[in-house]
Amino acid sequence: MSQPYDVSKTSERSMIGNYIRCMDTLSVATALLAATLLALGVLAVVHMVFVRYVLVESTVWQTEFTTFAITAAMLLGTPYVLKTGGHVAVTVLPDSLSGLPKRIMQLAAHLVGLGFCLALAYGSWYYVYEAFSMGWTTGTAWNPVLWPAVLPMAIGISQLSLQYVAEILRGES
Amino acid sequence: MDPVTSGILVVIALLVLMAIGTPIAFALGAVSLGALVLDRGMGELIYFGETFFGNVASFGFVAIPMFILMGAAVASSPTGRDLYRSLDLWMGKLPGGLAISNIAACSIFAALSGSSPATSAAIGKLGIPEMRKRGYPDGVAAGCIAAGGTLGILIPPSVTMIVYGISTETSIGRLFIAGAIPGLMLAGLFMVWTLIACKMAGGYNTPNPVAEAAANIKANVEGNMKALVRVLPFLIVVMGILFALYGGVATPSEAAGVGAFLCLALAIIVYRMWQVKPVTLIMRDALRESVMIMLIIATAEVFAFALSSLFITQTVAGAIADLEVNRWVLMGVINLFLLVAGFFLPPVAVIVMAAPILLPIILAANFDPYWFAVILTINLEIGLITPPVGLNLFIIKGIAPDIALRDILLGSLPYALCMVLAIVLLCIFPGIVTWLPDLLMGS
Repeated sequence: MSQPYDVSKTSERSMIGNYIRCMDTLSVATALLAATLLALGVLAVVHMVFVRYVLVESTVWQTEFTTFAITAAMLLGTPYVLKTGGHVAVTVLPDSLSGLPKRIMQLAAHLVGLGFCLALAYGSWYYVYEAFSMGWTTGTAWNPVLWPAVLPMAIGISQLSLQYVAEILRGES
Repeated sequence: MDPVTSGILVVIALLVLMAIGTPIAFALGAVSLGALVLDRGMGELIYFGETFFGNVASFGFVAIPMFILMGAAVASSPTGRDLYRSLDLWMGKLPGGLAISNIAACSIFAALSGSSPATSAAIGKLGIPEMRKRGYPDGVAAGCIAAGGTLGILIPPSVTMIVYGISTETSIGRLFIAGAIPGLMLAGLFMVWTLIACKMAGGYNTPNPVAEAAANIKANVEGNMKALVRVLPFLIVVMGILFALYGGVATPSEAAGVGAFLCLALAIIVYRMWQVKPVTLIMRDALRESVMIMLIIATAEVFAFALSSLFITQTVAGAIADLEVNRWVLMGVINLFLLVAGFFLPPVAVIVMAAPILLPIILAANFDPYWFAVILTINLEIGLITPPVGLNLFIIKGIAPDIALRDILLGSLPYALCMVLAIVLLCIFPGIVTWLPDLLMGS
């Protein structure tokens, strides 16, 4: 009777493994997008400085573009940083424990983090929906529509939540 | 709920979440969200995206990732090696010259990279083996690099100073100038202790250090000169940035963007790093560090917003102002608080959480906010070389795994005491901080 049980356990394991691998790949993909946006933001600043101080003309889109590009880069980069253990935590107390208490503490910490990410993901998608359906613009001289600036936050934080689940599964397996 | 009770609950919740190992950014975010939801109901959830985005998307903040990118370009290239060789050219002949030139190299690299761990890593990789080879005690070799690295957050341009400037709405250019002389003073104190420590340990017992060093230098002059030529453009870029900021010519974000672009271009041209791999590594390092810092800043902004929505900030500042304690007693208590916070938390996290609350208190007690920025930064530097978190200590352990952690700790401790001495000196002579900014920018 133990045979079918083992098979289902193995397939469950491989499903979890696939999920973790899939999320790892997605997080690297969003990080690549983030690095590109960071580089674009830097180039926009260089362009702005050139136009403003060398050509002595006024600039229209650069300040806002840089702000949105780099903010997007930072939020799209969060899943990769979680995957590589880059979000700083104070682990003195959990490190001093072992066995079950340590695992419970780590799980509790993970669940708090995941809860925050899910709430922020929900709020972000709602903000995108509002900005899109009401056709909001930023109200500046350039005045672009707002939703494309907010969309990377929704995508980044959603992927962060999915990556968080992957980290919890990785810790359990 | 009255502000005092909710304030106590918020602080306890935050401490518990951080103690169980929740990443700082998520702990801050979860507590602020919880506080806002408890205060205003579940409806707050749908506005949370807007609150968060509104707090993080600002042109002031984008300076931080760009400064980090600039530092990463410098740190990933062999600039550290070249800087080290150039300094050897000038200082190798001095008694204890190697340790002194290591601290000098740390100070200059700190200016180039703006990061403490990057400085310890870049200079330590070369400096520690070289010092041990020439007979310096292990503790001194490890301690002077760990301590030298901490100068990264004090000597301009420094990322933590930018974060302080944004959190407290003070002038970043003025903060940078304020950090310059205290940074050099601290470097000087480190050098003095290094010489004393070498003497106490019976000197650096190389058979004939002076003759060997002289021979080394003779053989290396040409190579060292070339190294100097390669480092100079980076130094010029950083000086240019500082000049633009001090003169008020450019905003920090403009200076950071151009600096990042130029340093990346220089790394690619001078060190021929045009293949995909090195550039990817620079971008990866910059992204990892800036995302970590920016997420803490973003959630701390929301935290500050939540605290002030619940009138906690105002109540605490008011209560402390009403205490009417002696201002130096107050400063002592604040220093103790910062020191303890620095033992556990990275500098940026302490600044974004504490600065907006502490600044009104500091101003009410008639202290200079720029002077306080320097005091705060030195406090946080101490945390970088003391357990349990002491980032630089672990960097050193990584570079020189065969030095016992105990030796690294004991070797670094006197440097932490040098920093305490520096804080005392700055309290007695605040002019060390305020003189240069007043001279250059008016009081």
